[in-house]
Amino acid sequence: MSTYIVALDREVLPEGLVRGRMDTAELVIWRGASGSVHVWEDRCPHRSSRLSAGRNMGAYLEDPYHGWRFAEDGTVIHVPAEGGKGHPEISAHVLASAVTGGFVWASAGVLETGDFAGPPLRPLHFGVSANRVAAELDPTKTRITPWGAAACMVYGIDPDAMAAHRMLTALRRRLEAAG
Amino acid sequence: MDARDDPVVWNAWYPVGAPTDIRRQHATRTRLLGHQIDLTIHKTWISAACEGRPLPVTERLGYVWTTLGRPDGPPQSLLEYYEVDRVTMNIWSTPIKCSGLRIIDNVIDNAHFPFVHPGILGDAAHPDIITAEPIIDEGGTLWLPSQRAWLPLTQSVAEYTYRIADPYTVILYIHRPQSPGRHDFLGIFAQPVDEENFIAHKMFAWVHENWMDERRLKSDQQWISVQDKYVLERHTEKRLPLAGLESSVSVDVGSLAYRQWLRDKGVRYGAVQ
Ligand code: FES
Ligand SMILES: [Fe+2]
Repeated sequence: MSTYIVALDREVLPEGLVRGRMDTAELVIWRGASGSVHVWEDRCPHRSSRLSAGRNMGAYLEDPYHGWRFAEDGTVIHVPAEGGKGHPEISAHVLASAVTGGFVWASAGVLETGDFAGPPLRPLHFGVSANRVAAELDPTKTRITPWGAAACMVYGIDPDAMAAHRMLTALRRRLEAAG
Repeated sequence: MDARDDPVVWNAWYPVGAPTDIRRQHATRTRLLGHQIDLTIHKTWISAACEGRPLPVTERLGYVWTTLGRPDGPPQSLLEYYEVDRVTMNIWSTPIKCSGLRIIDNVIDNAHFPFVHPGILGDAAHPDIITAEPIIDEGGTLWLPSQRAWLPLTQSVAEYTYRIADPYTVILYIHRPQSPGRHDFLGIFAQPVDEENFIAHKMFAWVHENWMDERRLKSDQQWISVQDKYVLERHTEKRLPLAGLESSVSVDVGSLAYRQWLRDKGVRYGAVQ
């Protein structure tokens, strides 16, 4: 189980919800009132609705379908149709996550963030597989998160953001044109 | 999966459109259970065929019904639909991107009213719902009687009964407090295009009242369905899990009974295997 970057720390705003992906899992990423960032599967444990279509209320995340409330630890603290009853035995699908070097990292297994810090570039989506992109890039300056089998998201660090971004967009054009 | 391997689904009747829509839009091609269905418009009726094989057709409850298999009777009926003091309409036939089983699970679930239909079918100040024991009658139809939820329009608790005769259909009985024993009806009939797409056909049959404005009623009903379409297309899992995968609470008795009923029938098409 690999660890991947799933968002930039600065993109995850209080009261906001960020959608992400990692391998085949769709993710919802949010910052709670405590300031911590949470990475969950974007799937309500009740009827599989997208939690990213719900609301970040700070102390809890509210599902769009039946309004269940999920505490920052993922457990259900309020079921409206049951008079607000909590269900500590039911939880969102919480992934192990951490924020370091300006990045949000997540893993479906054991979290290993490693050393990767520097001024983060704007992430770039590639319409080709993670393996093909990895073969072209310097692993000390980039991290690649697969988005399914045929796409990926590239996260980079570079003091010269303009030049690095130009290099990445040129690479993307070349790889996507090659099909 | 091939729908032929699911006898209950294969041998059921499905609506393929309203005769008026089919005529007006000349909609002579549609899909059912992964197969193309060709419709032919005749003077007084509409016929259906699949790869040249003629299929049985019946017009009922405002729609043209057909089947790819061998049903053991005609499509379900609702005698009250034909009462003289009723307003009957086809609300719409619209494609929705998920399993048709999902919309049945949505219709029988009043707990979503305050969140998906706020100010219309429910409101956040009255989210409690009351459920009752499901019943399966001698004909094998699943009934969810007396499901109660707050209705903002009347500022009181409304009572609903749901009838599921086929895996992909449900008829709502809205109890009329002013005339006990009578109901206003809505039907939701899913036409499964494939396992993760369906066309929602919605039937309307309410007792006529002087305040009624048909055009307004139709657009109100369409608006409610648009709200449901929004959540239906936001399921991460497009098919309906019949066991496990999704957690339930006490107010989900109807949903659990429906899933159990589908399991007992051996339904797998449109469900998580
Ligand atoms: S689907 Fe999330 S609360 Fe019901
Ligand atoms: Fe609804």
